Amino acid sequence: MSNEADLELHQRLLDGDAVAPEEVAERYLFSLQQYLQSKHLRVDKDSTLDAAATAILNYVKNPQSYKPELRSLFGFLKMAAEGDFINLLNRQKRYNMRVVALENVAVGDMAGNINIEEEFISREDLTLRLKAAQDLRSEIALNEQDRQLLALMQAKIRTTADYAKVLGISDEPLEIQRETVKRHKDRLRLRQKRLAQKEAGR
Amino acid sequence: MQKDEITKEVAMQYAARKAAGDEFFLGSAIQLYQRKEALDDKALAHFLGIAPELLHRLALCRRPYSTDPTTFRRDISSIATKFAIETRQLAALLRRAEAYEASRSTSTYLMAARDYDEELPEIEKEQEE
Repeated sequence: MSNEADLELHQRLLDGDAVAPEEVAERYLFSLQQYLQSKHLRVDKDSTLDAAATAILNYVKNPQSYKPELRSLFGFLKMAAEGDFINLLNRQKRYNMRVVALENVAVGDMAGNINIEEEFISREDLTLRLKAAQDLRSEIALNEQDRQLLALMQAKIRTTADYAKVLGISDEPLEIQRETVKRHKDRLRLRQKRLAQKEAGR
Repeated sequence: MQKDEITKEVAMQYAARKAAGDEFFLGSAIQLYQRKEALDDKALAHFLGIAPELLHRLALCRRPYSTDPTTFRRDISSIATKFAIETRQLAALLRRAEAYEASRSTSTYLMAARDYDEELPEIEKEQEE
């Protein structure tokens, strides 16, 4: 696509043209995803698609962020998508680290930890722990979906895709998947804590 | 959302779903209308007089708002021309979506007020403790 055509499309966005956002996506979204995919071969395609879509949607909402005198439109979008992609990876990394930290507390043997969750699970005998986990599973899981989610949590599975599959939201955008999965995991953890409190009171 | 291969079509559908969560895009009005009227893609496409495959492209357009009648008419006209949609149907969808949003914000306010009333005794009890 020529620079003139880019500039014309950019100007239409600035003018508030209602169909221009769709034309930007139509022209650049797929190329942008392919570009990211070719640069990051080991990363899953969904992440590259999410970053490319985020870059396009952000640009069409704020076209003034693009300065045509500095670079071509595709060059700008590539740069923006790279930035979104890195942010996405960092968010994933932070999320995974948080999950690891929480799960370590839940099954760890850290002496002196006063976390109530740890108090419940830190029974010395492994058999007791497994039994406790079983009790927990049967008491806390009200339905098949919760049971499957809990099994994933206890197996220390951290990939959103696995949870999303159980929740039947695999086709939703990644950020919605992450939010929904987090909400369900938080809910189950809360119930674990409540159960632990109940156990401590017995 | 693990897909074996991402095609241009899949990418556009993904972006459209993402755009549906943002009131800047027409997709937000389409999604709301579709949910409230319990229409599947086929029924909605029939209502608008377009092929279902075009819905996700439509969703990526900028959403016209009736608060400014001049731009509302202009935007509807350009979208309708591009996608060969009935102007009247698109305008009806947008106005209905705005009405749903207005009623939603009112009911959200009322629900929040009701929740607060229900929680108030517990909050006061916690504060006393």
